[in-house]
Amino acid sequence: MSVLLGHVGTALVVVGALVLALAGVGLLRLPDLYTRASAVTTASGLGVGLVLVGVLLHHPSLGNTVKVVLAVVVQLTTAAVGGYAIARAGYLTGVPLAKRTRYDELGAVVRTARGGPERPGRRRRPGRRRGRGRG
Amino acid sequence: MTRHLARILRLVGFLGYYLLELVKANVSVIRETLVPSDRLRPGIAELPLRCRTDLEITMIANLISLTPGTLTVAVRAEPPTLWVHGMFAEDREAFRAELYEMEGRMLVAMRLSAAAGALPGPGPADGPASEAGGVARRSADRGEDGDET
Repeated sequence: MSVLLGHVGTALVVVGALVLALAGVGLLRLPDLYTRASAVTTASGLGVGLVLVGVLLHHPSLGNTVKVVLAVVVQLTTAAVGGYAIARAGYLTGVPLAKRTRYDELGAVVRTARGGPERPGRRRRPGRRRGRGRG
Repeated sequence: MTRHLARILRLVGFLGYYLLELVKANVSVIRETLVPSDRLRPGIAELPLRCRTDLEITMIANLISLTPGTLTVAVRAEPPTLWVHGMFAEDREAFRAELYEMEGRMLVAMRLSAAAGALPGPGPADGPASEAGGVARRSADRGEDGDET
């Protein structure tokens, strides 16, 4: 029984590591900040969760179960809040959406709130980033 | 007492539904990562909520962020509204319907009354919606579907 649990645990650890690795690939290949944040938010939660549960199956005990449940809950919560914070900060500082984005219903609200005809998703001061290179 | 017990059972049921959604969405995001395709159609949709308490709004915002391919970008508490970025959101109404399904199931599971309430109707019949919400909805309607095709 415990041998079987160990095998299942190993499989879970491997799957979890794969999910994390694929999130890394997604970070490189997806088109913009929002899709990247989206992919990494979940993958970090799911990947770490799978690894932790896998380890738990190798060392099952009541104490470890409590620890793993706590760790998974905290990991999922911080991943979700962190992903939201990154996306929100990106949007408010004008990180552009990928060209293939179909619609943006937040744009109108932000425009109204700022009281200008400015298009969100474009940088407010285009020259600012390049300034560093010149100095 | 039985109402509390029934709610616990509904919460367990919701957990099962959510895990299934999590796996399904993960598969599509991983597939998109490995084999980039035309299926990637991102968009940010406005989602007026049926959630009322801070806990409900926080829960749905985080559950949406945790589902692969969807990410909460902005939250407004009054009236409760989310703006959700979706990776596979070609049709904004279908995308909204998916999110509403999750919200509805979550509210049924969380509330003692097991009632999610009516979906917010389209257009200005939104009730006491604030000005910002009304403006957003009207401008969104103007640029209806296929604007960038």
